[in-house]
This record gives sequence, C-alpha cells and structure tokens, in this order.
Amino acid sequence: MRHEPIAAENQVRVPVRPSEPNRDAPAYLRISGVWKSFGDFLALKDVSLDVKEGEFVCFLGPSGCGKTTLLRAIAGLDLQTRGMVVQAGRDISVLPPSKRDYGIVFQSYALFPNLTIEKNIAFGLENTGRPRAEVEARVQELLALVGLASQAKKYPAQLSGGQQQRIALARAMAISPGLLLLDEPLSALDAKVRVHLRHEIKELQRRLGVTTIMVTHDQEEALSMADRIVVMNHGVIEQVGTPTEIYRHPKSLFVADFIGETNKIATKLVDAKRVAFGAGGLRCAENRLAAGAEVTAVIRPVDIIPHAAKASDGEAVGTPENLLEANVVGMEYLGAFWRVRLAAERFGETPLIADFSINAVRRLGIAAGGQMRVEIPAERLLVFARSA
Amino acid sequence: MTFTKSTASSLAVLLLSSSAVLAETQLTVYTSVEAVDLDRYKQTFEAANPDIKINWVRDSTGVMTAKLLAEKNNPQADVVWGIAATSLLLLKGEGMLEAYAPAGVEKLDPKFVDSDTPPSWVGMDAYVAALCYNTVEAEKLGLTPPKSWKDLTKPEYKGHVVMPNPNSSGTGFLDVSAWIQTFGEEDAWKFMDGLHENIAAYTHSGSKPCKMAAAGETVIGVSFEFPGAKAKSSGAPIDIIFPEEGSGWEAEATAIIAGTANLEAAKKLVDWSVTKEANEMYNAGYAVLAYPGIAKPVEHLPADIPTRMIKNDFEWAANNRAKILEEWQKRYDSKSEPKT
Amino acid sequence: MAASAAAVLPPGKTLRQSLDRDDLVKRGLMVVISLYLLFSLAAPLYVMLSKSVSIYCFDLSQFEFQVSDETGANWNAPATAQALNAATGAVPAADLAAGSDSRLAATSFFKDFSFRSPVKYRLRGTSEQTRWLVGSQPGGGITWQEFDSNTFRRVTLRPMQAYGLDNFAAYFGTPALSRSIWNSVLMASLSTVITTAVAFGLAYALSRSLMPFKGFFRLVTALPILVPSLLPGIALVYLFGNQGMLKGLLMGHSIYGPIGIVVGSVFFTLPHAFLIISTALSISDARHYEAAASLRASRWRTFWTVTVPGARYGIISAAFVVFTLVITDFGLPKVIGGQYNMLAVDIYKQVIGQQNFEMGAVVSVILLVPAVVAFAVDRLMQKRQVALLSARAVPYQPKKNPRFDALCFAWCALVALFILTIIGVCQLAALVKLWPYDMSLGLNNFAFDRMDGGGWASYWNSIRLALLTAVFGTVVVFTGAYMVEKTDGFGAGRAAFHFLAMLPMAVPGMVLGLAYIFFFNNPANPLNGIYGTMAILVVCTVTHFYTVAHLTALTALKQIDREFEPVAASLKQPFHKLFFRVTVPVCLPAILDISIYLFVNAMTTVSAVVFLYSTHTQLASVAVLNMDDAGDVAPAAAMGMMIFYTNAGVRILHALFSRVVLKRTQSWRIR
Repeated sequence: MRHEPIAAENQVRVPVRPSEPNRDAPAYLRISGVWKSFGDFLALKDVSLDVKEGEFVCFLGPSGCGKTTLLRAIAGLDLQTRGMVVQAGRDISVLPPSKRDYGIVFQSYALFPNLTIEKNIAFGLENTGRPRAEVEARVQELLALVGLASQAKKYPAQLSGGQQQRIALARAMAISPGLLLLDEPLSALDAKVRVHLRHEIKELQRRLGVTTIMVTHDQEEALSMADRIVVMNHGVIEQVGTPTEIYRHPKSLFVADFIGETNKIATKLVDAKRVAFGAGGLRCAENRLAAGAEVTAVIRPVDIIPHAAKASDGEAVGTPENLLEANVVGMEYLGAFWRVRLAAERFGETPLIADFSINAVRRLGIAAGGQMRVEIPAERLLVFARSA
Repeated sequence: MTFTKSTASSLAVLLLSSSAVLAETQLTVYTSVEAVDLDRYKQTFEAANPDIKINWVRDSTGVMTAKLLAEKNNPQADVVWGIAATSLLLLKGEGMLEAYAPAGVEKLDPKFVDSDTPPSWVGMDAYVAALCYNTVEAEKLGLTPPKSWKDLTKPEYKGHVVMPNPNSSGTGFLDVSAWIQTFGEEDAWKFMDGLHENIAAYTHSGSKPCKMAAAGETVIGVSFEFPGAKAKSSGAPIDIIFPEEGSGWEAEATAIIAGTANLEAAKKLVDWSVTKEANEMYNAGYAVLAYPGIAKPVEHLPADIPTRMIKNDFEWAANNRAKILEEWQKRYDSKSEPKT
Repeated sequence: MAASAAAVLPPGKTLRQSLDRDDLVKRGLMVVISLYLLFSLAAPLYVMLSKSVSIYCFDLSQFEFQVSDETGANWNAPATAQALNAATGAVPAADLAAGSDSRLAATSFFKDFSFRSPVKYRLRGTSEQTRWLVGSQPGGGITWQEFDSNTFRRVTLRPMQAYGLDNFAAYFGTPALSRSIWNSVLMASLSTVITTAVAFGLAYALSRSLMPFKGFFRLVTALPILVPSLLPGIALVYLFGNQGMLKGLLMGHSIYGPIGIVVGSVFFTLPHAFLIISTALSISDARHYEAAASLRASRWRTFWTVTVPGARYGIISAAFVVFTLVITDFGLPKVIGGQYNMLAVDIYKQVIGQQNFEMGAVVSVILLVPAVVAFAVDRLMQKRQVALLSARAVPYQPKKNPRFDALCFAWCALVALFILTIIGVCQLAALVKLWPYDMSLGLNNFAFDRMDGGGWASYWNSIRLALLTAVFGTVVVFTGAYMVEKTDGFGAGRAAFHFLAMLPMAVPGMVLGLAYIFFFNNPANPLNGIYGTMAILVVCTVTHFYTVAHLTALTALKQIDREFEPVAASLKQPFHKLFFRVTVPVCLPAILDISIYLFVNAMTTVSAVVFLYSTHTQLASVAVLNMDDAGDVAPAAAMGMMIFYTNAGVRILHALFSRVVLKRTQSWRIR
C-alpha cells in the first residue's frame, strides 16, 4: 500500500498522541439517558457519554445538533428534561450552577468590562476566605500562565480578542475547577489567532490536567485539540472516538461527510467487498451490508492516489481493479495542493474530486484537459447504507 | 393586619415624613381659612392652651370637603375649622360631627349656629357675595356699574361677566342657592338663563372671578367681598358692589369630628373659636362676625354688610344641593360650548 | 442516526433544578417588586373599576311609613314608600337614580301633607342599612321613629348603594359630560397633527441641513420638558388673554378653550415628538438618498419617497405619544380650557368639585380606553422600528445648500421663538407687580407663603418628592428590570411582571391618582397608613412614570453580555456581587438617566398627585394649579418658574456629573 505524501498545511492533520488518557479509568463525568425538550422539539435524545479524568473532549456537530444544549445541561444553565449527570461520583443532575464544580469560557469571553484584567481573574477568588496576598499571588500565577502578566492593570476593551480569551480562560481556571467547559471559545477570533490559541489551550489543558469539554462546529479545531470527539447530529451522538477513529472510520455517512471532504457515489453493493461502479465494480472496505443493498460509497479527495496516464514498470498499485482512467476536467490551485476535477464515462454525471500534492502534479504532469489514471484504495472506499 | 398596618405606617413615617416632635396633645385640624391667618390663630390658641398643639391641614373648601367625605369611615381630623357651613351640614348628614355646645355659644348670632341642640357646628364669620367691578376696563368699554343682580342680565355686559361654577365652587353654589331663595325657584332659573348669556367664563374657584376683574381679564367678577378688598389694597382698579336684592353668604364654621380620640382638646379649641378674642381676630379679613357688635369695618368694605345679607337656610341648601347642581349642570354646562 | 427517527421523550418527571440561595433571593426580590406593582397599580385600578359600577339609588322598599289620624293615637297599616309611590306616582322612576349626597323629601309620598296638621308620622327601615335625615341629623334602623308633622317635613330619605351600569348610562345620558369624549379626542387629534408636523420639520432641519446653531435649537426644544404643562397655559393667558400683549392676533377668538389647549399642547408635547422623530430620521440610510439622486429624483420627490417612509414608524410612534399625552393631560386644559370640557378635567371636577367619586371613576374608565388603544398601537409600532434599527445603514451626510439651510434655520428659529416666548412671558409675569396696572418689577409674586397653595413649603416638598422618587424609583425600576432580563426560569412570573411594568404608560395620571384614593383610603386596607403621607406620593409618582424608566433600564441591561450571570455562578460568586460590582457600574449612565427622568417628572407632575397630597405634602406643581385656580396667576407663574429653575439646575448638574464622574468611572469604555 502506497500513499502519496500530502504536505498541506491547512489539510486536516491527525496528530498521534503518545499519552492518551487511560481508557479503563472510571468515568469522571457520566452522562446517562439525557433528554432535553423545548416544547415539542427534542434537542437531546437519550444522550449517554462517559468522560475520563483529564480527558479533552470535543462536542462537534452542525449548528442545532444539540452540542451546546448538552454543555449547558452539564453546566446546569439549561436543565435537561430527563437523565442524569454524575461528576466525580456526585449526582449533579439538578444542582444549580453555583453548586457544581466547573469553570466556563464563552465565545463572547464575558469579561467584566469595568474591571481590570487582574480584578476579572480575582473575581472568583474573593470572598472565599483566602488571604489577600494569596489571591494576588494566584492572580499573578494565572496571568503568567496565559502570558499576560504585563497587562494586569488594563481593561478588557484594551486587549485583543485573543488576549481577552486567554484572560477568560485564566479567570475560569482561577478557582481550580474539576471541569473546564469551553463554549465555542475560538469562533469569534480571526483565523491566525485561532490556530495559535488552539495550540495554547491544548497545552494549558495538558499541563493542568483538567478534564475539559469544548463545544465547536469547527472540525479542524476538534481534530487538532480533542482526545476524543463526540460527533452530534439532531440531538443524538453519531459517534464517539479519537480523532483518528472519527476520521478514518466514520460510523455513519453523516460523520464521514461532516469530517473532511468526500466524494459520494450512489450505488449498489455487489457483494460484501464490491460496489457497482459504471461498467464494472470497485472493491470497497469490508462491511456487513447485504448484497444488492442501495448504498453510498464514500472516498475522500485526499485518499485518491494519482498515477500517470501510462502504466510504467515497477508501478505500485494496491488494488489494480480500482485503477481508473480519467480525464482531467479542471484544476484549482489551493495554495498547498491542487484540487482536481476528474471525469470519465464510468463516473456518470458527477465528476470525482481529488486533492493531489503539488509535487505529484508536477511529477506526473497532470494538466487540465489531459488524461491520467487514479487509484481508489479499497480500504478507503467506505460504504454506507442509503436511507430512503 | 393591625401589625402590618402599624408596621407599614411607621415605616412610612420613618422613611418619608418629617419627624414631628410629639407634644402633649396633637390636634389635627382641617381648615380652609386663608393660609396667612393660620399662624396667628395657632399661636394665640396654643399660648392659652400650652398642652395642645394644632396641626393644620389646609386646602380649599371643595378639596377639604371631598377629603373629609372620602375619609368618612376612617376620619383623620379631630376638628374642622373654618369650613363652609353647607359643607359641614353634608358631614353632619353622614353622622360625622360630634354635637357640642361650646361655652359662650349663646352669645353668638343664632344664624351662625346649627339649628339643632346641642349644635353640631358653630360659626366664626361669614363671607358675602359681591361683585368686583374693574372701573378702568369698564370705562374703556363705556359700561355703567350694575346695581343689582338682575342688572347683570343687561345686554351691555355680554361677555364681561365671570362667575364661579357652582359645581366646583362653594361660592358659586352660595350664589345660586341665594338667588333661588330670594327670587323663588322659577324666577331664579329665568334670571340665571339671562345671566348665562352674558357669562364669559365659569371658573373653578370662587375668588378667581374677582382676581380676574382685578387683572382686567374681565370687567365684572361674581365673587365675594374678601378677595375684592385684598385686590383693592394691592392697587387694582376695582369697586366692590353689593347688589341691592341682597347677597348670599356662607358661614365659616367649626365642628368636632365624631369619634376623635382627643375630644377634650377639641372642645377647648371650639370653645376658643367662639370667644370674643377669636372673633376679633377673624375681623382682620372678614367684615361679618358671628359674635355680634364687635366687628370693626374692614378697609375698602362698607360697614353695613350684615344688612345686605339675605336670610340663608343652610339646611335647605344642603338638602337641595344635589338637585340644584344637577339642574344647573343640565342647563349651563352642556350649553357652555356651541354644538357643532 | 437510526435513533433519531422516532424518538419520543420517555415518560417520567421533568427535572427541576434545586435552588441555591441566590435563586431564592432573586425570586424573593421579584416577588417583592411584583407585589409592589400589584399593590401600586393593579389593585388600585381594580378597586376603581368596581367603584365605577357602584351606584346610589333610592330603594323605596327600604322605607316603611305609618300615618296616624288627627288624634295622633290611631295608626293606619304600615306601607312601604314603594307601595305609596305606586299609589300616588309622586316620584318618577328617573328621579330614583341618585348621587351619594342626594336627598328625597319624605313628604313627597303624602299628597295632603301639611306641617300644621296634628297628624303624626312613623318611619322605619326594612333593613339596618336604611338611612334618612331629620333636618341634618342622621337617622336609620328598623325601629319605628315617630314625628309630628312639623318635624316630618324635615325628614329626607337617603339613597342606598348598589352595583350596576347606571353610572355609565347617566354619563352617556348627560351631554354635558359625554361631550368631553369628543372634545378630548378632537383636541388630542389636532395637537397630534400639528405637533408631529412641527417636530418633523425641526428634526428634518436639524438632521438634513448644515444650518448654524443646531446645538442651541436642540437645547431650546428640550426646555418644555422641564416645566409643568400648566405653564404654557399661564403664558398664553398673558399673551392672548383679555389683557394679552398679542390679543389682536386671535382676531376676536378667545384663548380660553380649544385654541389655548392646542397651542399649549403643542408646546409641552413638542420635545417628546421631536426626540422620537429625530431618532427615526437619524437612522435613515444615506444609500437611499444616493439612489434617489442617481435617478435624478427631485428634492420634493425624494422627500416623499425616501425620507417620510424611512421615518414612518418614528412619526407614527410620535403621533401616538403626543395623542396620549394630550388626552390624559389635566393641567393645561384646567388652566386654559375655559368652558371647554375635557375628560381629565372632568375627573377633577367630579371628584373635587362635586365629591362624586363614582362619576369620577366612570370618566376614568372612559379615559382609559383611548389611552390604552394608543398605547397598544404604539407598542406594535415600536416593535417594528426595532427591526428597522438593527439594519446596518450608512449615516446620511447633509450637503451644503444655502437656500435650504436658510429655510431650515428660519423654521427652527420660529419654533425656538415660540418656546422661548412662552417661558419668557412666564418669567416676566412672575416679576411684574400687578399686571397690567403696575408693570414695575419686584419679587412680591414669589412670596408664596401669602398665597393659597402651600407656600414655599410646597416647593421644598416637591424637591423632597423628586429626590425620593429618583432614589427609590431608580432602585425599584432597575432591580425589577434586572430580574426580568437577567434571571432564568420563572418565565410566567417574569412575563407577568413585564406586563405590569408596561401598564403604567397606558394609565392616565388622573386615573391612577383617583384609583389610589379608592384603594389606599380604606381603613380595611393594611396599607392605609401611607395615605396622606409623602410615601403615597412617592409610590404614585414612581408607578406613574414606571414604564419609560423600565424600558430605559431594560435597554441598558440588554446590552450587557448574557453570560455574566453563568460565569459568576460558575465562579461561585453571589449574584449581588456581580450586580453591584459589574452590572450597576456598567449601567451607571442609564441609571443616572432614569433618576433624572424621575426627578424632573416628579417636579412637574400634577395629574396623579393632585388627589393625593395632604397639607404637609403640598407640592409646587399642585401649588401652580391651585394658585392659578384661585386667580393668583402671577404667583402661579412664579412657582412654575421655580420648578423650571430647579429642573434646569438639576439637568446642568447631571451634565457636569456625567462629565466628571462618568469620565472617571467609565474609563474602561475608552480603548
């Protein structure tokens, strides 16, 4: 099996984690059978989930999928209609927010505009019986932690968005909560700052070891930050898994489609390992669907392997029968890679989209109007039952 | 409930009302007497009765009467002082007055004392209907001064007469009631029909027509003698005319509110109100006093006012008040604007 | 995905959040403020409604008579007055309807009555409630009372209280009263058309021209807010009364009546209309004008196709505000209305003049109708305007156009002249010794202690009322608005509270004041203790002006991040810490605006408090009314000017305070 290396900065990177949290540890946060109704509308339908201590979990899904509703239920801000939430062995299902143990950061940062940065951070530390000096020391520590020690006397409006978000984080962490809740913390920031802060937040979380739940609709954010991703849609959890699992082995068409880009081919299953494709078939990843089932076959553009128009000696082909001849209909230069539109009689109406590295395009001489061959790796051609 | 009530009121007092120092006996006295005179009465009375303090609650007769009637089931006043006898009769009809014959009441002119024994109210002085006539404006318009009430219906005065609306002014009602008593019902309404043709405005207050005449806003103000004399003193070019048919009048009177917790103190105040000394003080503004024979003439007013007063039947006036006012409103209020 | 298809909520109990101390405190506060509005608004209005259907009539079945023969020893069978009246027809049914102080002579039932006759009469009631008078002595009860003929002629029967719509029937059956509906609507409509047009002209000139002195004109336009609505009435008397300086301009028409009401109404409603319309004009989109210009549309056409439609919600809203202000105003028609009856004045006349509280309540109910309708329409318009506001528009930049600018300047100068003349004339009247016979200047009109109306004490009372209203009102209003805007759950309670908070705008002051008499002046009411105190004036004034203050607070609170409360809760900090350290400081400008608004209105209000003040709580604004009422017009003008100086002074203080203190406390706003 051979893959073209894809060195695309803005392509999805799937980091390998050396120190994943212990999967056998008992759940720190256990959500079981949670439902939420707004009138007739069911925003959460029987959601159950375990979060381990120290884990960074992302709730990912399109808007209206219920991810924020689930977060607010955990925070006690919008109580679930049914179901139980247990944190650190304590049933917190119906506790008011003030009786729970979490820090929260909102998309709007919600910094108190009339208080200085240090007063904002100290807000949760005052009136707790701590001596003043201790509070001050803790504030300095947190300021240093987020790298804004010099800004202590400034007001929030005098800081940039990214700085404000870091202050919000520091404020939430001030009381050393058992759980950190992040509600779309990066969406209000511009792209560069966002990428930078992703890394910073993740680092901070790892260092402090605080169990963290982040809500996001940005798959890149989820893939790059989370230990585990909870993909939600229409109020249910579609899939829970590590970023690699979610990306490589989506359990549903929705997940496959939502994470990364896909070519979708409506077809029929010939047998357990083959789908019909034009005049012939393609080998696909193994599945348990019955032969003859109506299916959607899915292949990601980055998974399509380019080959020169003419076969050469020593050419490595993983699945020879999945090697297709194609016309290059159009090419789009996207900076780090080329997006290529391919067509052939076999493809039918819809062209196939493939992402090729700049390197590959140069080496194979791929050009619009030309011809080439592409290989669709069988284990990457995922098949999902097509619901009517 | 008692608890909440007292808590609420004491809270309210604590928070919001001026903290009056509590003296021996506090008398709450409702009055319509001229504001300037009140201090003199208070000082004189309190000098003679150092254990009693007077708290004046002062407003116009109409407002005071409305207030007293509104408080019928929960009276706040101990004494009413210097309020129109007709108003007091309304209160008497509600059983709100404590009958009491003050020491020395027999010395008063009987028409200033309630007809029942013991009397429910005793008079202090009287105000008498009069016309205020602006000589400067009259000259400009070439008018001659009226001599009688009936003169007021003459066409030359059209648009130059202002009188108080009897529905909102006690003075207005005393005029109407006097005309009915003097002319007889039928003639009185005929007279008022004629007068209505000449009226420029009906005012809410009884002294305003005179003050309007004093300011030249009108030529003739149907009012009473007191504001006339006052305006004349301050230099307004007016004459005070007492029409020859006789003038309606109203007694200012004093009464004790039934159920007062300070009955003894209240009696002392009423006793004092009928003394010669008190009556002499009323003379400062009023030419006609309840205590006969001691009145000195008031500047700008004739000495013979008592002879110009009609015989006034307060009881009749009080008992027919509602009917008269209804008739008046039917006749003149609805006509006051031309229908379009 | 499979699970989502046919998911249904499993049966079971819906979870309810357990409450922490903060929740309990918040709920407690909300209940307290709701109770406040309930007792200061809803309950009095309800009592007033029930008063309007309380009637008096002579119930003849209540009275029973017995007549003796000439010896006075033998009595005939007792007969009720009803039976006697059926036999003689002496009292027609129409005369049985009555007021609370109506009397019916007992002798009316006996045709051959003679007071000289030796015949004796007996009277008793059929119930303990039966009441009559012997002369002026009250009598009643169910035991026989015997009278000789001479005493019997002095017996008068008294009416009984009952419930029914007779008061309304009587109202509509008395043209003198029901005409006021038409009068009020006519005056309000005329004033609305004129004020809206004048205000539009002003706002248009100030926003679309480059004329000079814009700041000055804005300042002058705001002045009428600082004086009671009575003041223009007084000024008009001096200008156009029989001794008026400009009487000739009226060409023989009298200023007392419709003309005076309309002119005065335009004066005191102008600032309100101007504010609303200029806001509407200032949000118009410049791009529309550019489009019109590129289509070569004439200025006139642009005006009608772009300007007017763009500001239409503002214009409609202003129109309804003016209409409501005029129809519910009491001071102005009282001073200048002459014989032209208006609803608000009728209430006063019925209650103060005739002590007919029931008819006062009837007129109040009738006055509520147009006010509520205008209020409802206005709310509807406001909702639409919000949508318009949220659209991002490019602000319009006026271009130089000397002719147009001159025209605008002339218009503004004319309006400013009108406003300054009114105030200037009052100032002059206050200083002239005896208009028109002694025009020398002096301060004798400021010797209030020599006049009716409460003297200087009333002025200090007004200051006290204004301060208390500003402090107490701001606390109540802001806390209430916070509870509505920033608490979770308890939705029905919050909605009900918001409704109560919006209601005062639809309730005319006279109606509120009268409702307070009925509600608080009742010994059975535990709150009876505040009747006649400064407290009831404060409560009444706060309630009267609640809505605008509430909306101001709400607008400020809506601009605060919704997530502050969750953040504070997650930091385990009590809500009052957040409230006092963040919410209040951030809203400080709005809080100051609210207190100034309440202060100025407490200084100028007449309508609600005119029924509620007592001797120790006489007010300057009411003193203006009473002095004018008593014919002391010049002192009334002087007191009106005192109110003006005070309000102007407080406004200036507010401006200075805003500059100095807000600069320090709001430094965080500067980036």
